[in-house]
Amino acid sequence: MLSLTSPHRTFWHSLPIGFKFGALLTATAGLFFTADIPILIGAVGAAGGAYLLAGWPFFKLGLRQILGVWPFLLIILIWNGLAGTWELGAVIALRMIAALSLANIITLSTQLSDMMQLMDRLLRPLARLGVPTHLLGLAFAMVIRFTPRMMDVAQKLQTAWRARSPRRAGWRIAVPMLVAALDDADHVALALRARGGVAKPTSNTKD
Amino acid sequence: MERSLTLISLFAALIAALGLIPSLTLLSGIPITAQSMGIMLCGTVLGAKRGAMAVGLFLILVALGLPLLAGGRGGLGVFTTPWAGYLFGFPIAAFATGWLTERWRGQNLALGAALAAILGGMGVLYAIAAPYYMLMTGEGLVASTLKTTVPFMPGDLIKAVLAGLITQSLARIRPASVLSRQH
Repeated sequence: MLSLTSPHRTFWHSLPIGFKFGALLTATAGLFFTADIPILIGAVGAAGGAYLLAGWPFFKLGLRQILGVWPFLLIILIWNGLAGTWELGAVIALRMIAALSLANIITLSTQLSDMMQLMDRLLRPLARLGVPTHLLGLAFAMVIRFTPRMMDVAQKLQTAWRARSPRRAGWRIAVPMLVAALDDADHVALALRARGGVAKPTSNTKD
Repeated sequence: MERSLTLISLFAALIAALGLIPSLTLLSGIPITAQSMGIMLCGTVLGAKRGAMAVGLFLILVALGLPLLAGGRGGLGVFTTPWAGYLFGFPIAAFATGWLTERWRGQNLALGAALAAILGGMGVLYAIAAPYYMLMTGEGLVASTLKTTVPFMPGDLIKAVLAGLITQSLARIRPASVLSRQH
């Protein structure tokens, strides 16, 4: 299961995740406090510069993410253009581009394992209160493990459908997909129970 | 507890896989995917609590950087657009859908689940997405509501009906698995 992390190692990859996250939150908050178009253009430029700092391949990756939302940008600009509020449209579009690119720097430059460590750190106060936060890590592992499996089930069902019908596989393959998910859930639950269950191990044995 | 954990995880994986099924594109260029039907199904099949947790788990993994949203999208960026109200509303919509399905007393589960999907998966979801859009962009309530709900309504209506039919089919072949109806 591929994550969205960029395979090219850049300057941003070596920064601690906590720092990157904090910087992102501050920058995004700042973006929403200003409606000044020149400042927002500067923000977009700064975001672009942040990508260029890490090299041209990284910049191209970032650009692709922005281009991925072109329908939304178009709607905003056209709607506001027609309504006569083009300035508002420009502000919204610029904010969106800036916030999107800054947030994506984190996604592109942080390994999944580091993200999970950050989550673990953030959840530690809850864990101390007795909330079973260790289950979240297990749940993550299971979703990552089973998403390709569910995609495989979907593809096999589509193939089986196409072997029997000239039309595209429609909603009817959803029922066997659900059954596959339910059966897998039962099997994995059984396997977990056979290995001692998922309750947090208490440290009342000293070894 | 193990079964709840695995059900939630598997359904989160299911939502991800539903993003793979090729989407139809409406005229406005907005793709309608089976993924939002997955949100409704989490509610109608798993019930309110587990359904919401499955969707929440899915969203956390998207935020952590996995390309699980339809079209291979993901990462923190998708939460920064004005349409992120939909993402934040997904778990709440699943909860509402499940809550309503759990309380349907009629004979026809397809009808009940479809109604639950319309009120929860559409009504509640739009009620969160539109104000969020308004807050994030500063546009008016009418403009925001029009932009965030109307393009999706036809597709979502079809998906809600399908969710009802799918839930009913599932209840017929595996009655014990439709957790929203186990009591």
